[in-house]
Amino acid sequence: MEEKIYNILKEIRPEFDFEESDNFVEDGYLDSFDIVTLVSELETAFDIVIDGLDVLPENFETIEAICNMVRKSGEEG
Amino acid sequence: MILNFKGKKISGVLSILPENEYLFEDEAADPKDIKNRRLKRIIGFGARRRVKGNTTLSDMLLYGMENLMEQGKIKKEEIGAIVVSTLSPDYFLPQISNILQGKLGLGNDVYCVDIMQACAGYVIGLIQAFMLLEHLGEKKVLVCTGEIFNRKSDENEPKFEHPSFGGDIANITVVENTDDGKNIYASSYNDGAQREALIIHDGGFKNPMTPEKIALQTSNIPCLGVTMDGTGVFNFVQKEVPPAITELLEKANMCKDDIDYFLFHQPNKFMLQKLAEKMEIPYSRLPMDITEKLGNSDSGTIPAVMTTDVSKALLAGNNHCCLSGFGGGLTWASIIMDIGKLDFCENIISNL
Repeated sequence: MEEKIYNILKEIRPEFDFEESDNFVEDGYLDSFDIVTLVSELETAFDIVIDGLDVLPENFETIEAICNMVRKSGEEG
Repeated sequence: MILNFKGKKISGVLSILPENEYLFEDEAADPKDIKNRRLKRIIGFGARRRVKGNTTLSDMLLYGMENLMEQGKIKKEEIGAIVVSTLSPDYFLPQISNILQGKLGLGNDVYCVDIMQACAGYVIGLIQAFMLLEHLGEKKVLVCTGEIFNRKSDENEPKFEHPSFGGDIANITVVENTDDGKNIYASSYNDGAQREALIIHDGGFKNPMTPEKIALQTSNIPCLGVTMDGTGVFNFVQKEVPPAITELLEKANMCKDDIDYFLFHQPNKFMLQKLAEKMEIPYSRLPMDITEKLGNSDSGTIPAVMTTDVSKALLAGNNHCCLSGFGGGLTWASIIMDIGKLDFCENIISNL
């Protein structure tokens, strides 16, 4: 899952090395438009529906946080 | 707060569009850029309208009102009040409603009020109209909404890396008393503690414009752009709007399936899709393409949905409708009411 998500992140913002960042949002790697794009891409890639209430910056700060959200969305779906 | 009205109706809606239309592909520096293509698909970028030169909202509304009078859809002597809800005033003083009353030569007893509301502005304007109608007998209220957010000083300015999605529009909704006795339920909520989530900092008394700030302007409007905590506002909408609608449905003794159309503010397609998913409403009953067709115009989007997406249904017969506006303030306000059979519900293209 991590590798798949890293690939999506790199496709959205190819100029950044996400593996070097401790916090994608605070480091400016992801803005709100990127988060919207990421939600859409994750939904397609993992065949899930992400709850609108989960579209919070803290769920996009790290690869672990994103993985947790994807897993949660998969279980709920 | 929750409000209940009886014997009021919307009898017509007119949207006035500038004739100049701009496509996302034409405005973007590189429309083929993958980020731009994704934004177009997910957010719903498309076409938006822009007024010419120094056209103001009162110019657009005057155009619409004269059109309505020429067509015999409203008579001067029928107008009891003008309620304008916008963030695009002509001046700090006087109000747009006063300007319209004067230019149209309406009676001195016409009640005039402007409301400084953003995305909830249409619903708040309707609530004001319903309250005024308690005192107006057979007279009608004109609820005027819209924004001039897209006006440009130089048509040849450089293209945007990622164009915005604000569009110019004006709308006039005629509201009047009726003897049908049907209930209207409305609610209005505010969370001013989150006011910084959506704010125009510059151009008012707190932060007046300076030569340095004016030099930063990219549009021909008298303030700098909106500052928005995008995910914060998104989350606010997902958190607050569904329970507010549920509460209002319970008051009306109705369920979601009873509603023919959910006529919501149109910030962008993604937010509305997520809202529909959260509320388990089919996309077919929650139109969400106004950003794509006309751009986001704050208080102007809900009447734009009515005149653009559901006009046939609203003209043909009665529809159970749920209206909801949400945004700057932060404010969220909703109405459940029957709409139709309207006397008119249409777009007109102005040369402004």
